[in-house]
Amino acid sequence: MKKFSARQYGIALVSLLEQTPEKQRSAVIRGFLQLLRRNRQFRALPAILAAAEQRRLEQANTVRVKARAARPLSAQLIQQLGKVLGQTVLLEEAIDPALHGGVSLTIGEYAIDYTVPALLNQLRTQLTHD
Amino acid sequence: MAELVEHLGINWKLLIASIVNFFLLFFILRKYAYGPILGMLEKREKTIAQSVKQSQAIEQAVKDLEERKANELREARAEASRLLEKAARNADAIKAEAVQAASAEATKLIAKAKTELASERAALKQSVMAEVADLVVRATEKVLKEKMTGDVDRRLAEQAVAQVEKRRP
Repeated sequence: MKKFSARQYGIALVSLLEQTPEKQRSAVIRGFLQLLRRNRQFRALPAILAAAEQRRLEQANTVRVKARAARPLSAQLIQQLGKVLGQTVLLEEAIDPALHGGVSLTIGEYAIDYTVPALLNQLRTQLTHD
Repeated sequence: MAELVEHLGINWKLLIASIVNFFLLFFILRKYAYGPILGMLEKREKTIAQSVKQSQAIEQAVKDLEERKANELREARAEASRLLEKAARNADAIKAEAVQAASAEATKLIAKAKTELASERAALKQSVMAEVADLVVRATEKVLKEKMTGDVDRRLAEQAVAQVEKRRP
C-alpha cells in the first residue's frame, strides 16, 4: 500500500473531477473515499480537500486572502491587493472593531499584521530594545 | 780566763743553775707548750691551706660556672637572634601572602561589584525603558483611538498592501 501526501491526493482529485462528466462525479468521489479508507488515510480528508481547493484556485489564478480589520475593506483596496499579488483575490473578511484601524492579511502561509494593536506592539518592542 | 770570769762577776754556780734552769724550762716548754702550739699551728695551717684550696676550687668552679653561663647566655642570645631573624622572615612572607590574598580578594570584590552594578544598571535601564515604552504606547493608542478616521484606516490598509508587495517571496 503506497501512501500519498494530502497535496498529491488533492491534485489528483481535482484532475479526476475535471476529466469526469458532471453526472459521474458522485461515483468518482465515492471511489476516491473508498481509496482513502483502504489506504487508511481517511483522517487526512480535510487536508486533502484544502489541497484540492488550493489546486483549483491556482488553476483559476486565484488566491485566498484572509483579512481582519476594524472596518470593511474597500473594493479599491481589494483590487490593489490583487494587482500586487498578480492574482484574483478571494477575500475572507472578518470585522473586529477592537482592532481600531489597519488590517491583518493572511495569504497562504504568509501573513502581515498592520492593525493598530500590532503596530503598537511593534512600537513597544522597538522602544524597549533600542 | 779565771781572772776574766772574776772581773766580769760571773758566778759559776749561778751560771750552771741558770743553764740547767734554761734547759729545764726549754724542755718543759717544748713538751707542754711549743709542741701543742706548733701542732695546733700546723693543724691550723693545714686547715687554712685546705680552706684556701677549697676556696680556690670553689672559685674555679664559680669561674667555670660563670664561663659556662656566659657561653650558654651567648648561645641563647645567638639562638634567639636566629629565631628572631627566622620569625622576621616568616612574618615578611606571611605579610606578603596576606597582602597578595587581600589584593586578590579586593580585585574579586571589585569585579563582582562591577558586574552587579552593570547588571543592576541594565535592569534599571530595561525597567525605565519598559515604563517609557508603556507610557508612549498608551499615549499613542489613546491618540490613535481618538484620531482614527476612515481616511487614516484606509491609509494604514494601503500601507499593509504596500508591505505585501515589498515582502512577498
